[in-house]
Amino acid sequence: MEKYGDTLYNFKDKINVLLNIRVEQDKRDANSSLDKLTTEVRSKLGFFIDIGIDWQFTSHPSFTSKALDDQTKLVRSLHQNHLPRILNSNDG
Amino acid sequence: MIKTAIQNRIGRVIIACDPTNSINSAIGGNYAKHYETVLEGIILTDCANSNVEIGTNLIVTVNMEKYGDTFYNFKDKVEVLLNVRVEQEKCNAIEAFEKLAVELKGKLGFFLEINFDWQFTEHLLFKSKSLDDISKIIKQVYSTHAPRVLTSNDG
Repeated sequence: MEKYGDTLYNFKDKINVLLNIRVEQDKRDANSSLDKLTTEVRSKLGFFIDIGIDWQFTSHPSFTSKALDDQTKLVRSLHQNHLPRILNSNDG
Repeated sequence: MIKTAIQNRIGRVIIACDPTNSINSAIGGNYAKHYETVLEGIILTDCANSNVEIGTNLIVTVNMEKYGDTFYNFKDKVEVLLNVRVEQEKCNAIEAFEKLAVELKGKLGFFLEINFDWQFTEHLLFKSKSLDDISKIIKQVYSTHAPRVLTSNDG
């Protein structure tokens, strides 16, 4: 009550935790980048290869106990770093 | 060769995390212990209730606590899975023998076909060797022994 005049900063952060939609948002972002990667790989290899993420780990307590930002970092690392590297680089 | 093997045998690449961090891969060296690659058949049940394998997934799993670490030596792991090293070396050997046959014709004045008896590559003792040792054995024959016995004065 003594702070009623203060702005409600970072409302989104609080809602994010409550609604627990971060993983769903990350999945949506991942699908979009997987689509792009699939097209890129197809143009390089000359044939289609389906690319996906096994999302089972997102239900595990080791994952759900992480901070939302850490969850996002982990998921992003899979579709923005690892998959492009193994599918596009010379080592892959 | 790897590209062809992937095209023919892999329908889908899937990445996953191991939340229990139990992966300790022996392939690819110390910097590649935190992730592994496996092939898994994609099974569908047909109308006669029989399981039919319709393709193969390449599943790449990383320990959750090491998700930020680079996937070093991915090629090494995939080579072991796809088992294309012998085929690659066969191609190299055929190419080397063709060159050697031309060289020999220039020296002897007639054509002599040079070939490899590949039966040993099916033997368990050979298959149980590491990929690098497999390469060494085949290379030794086509790049050292065959040229020596066919073109040197000792041959």
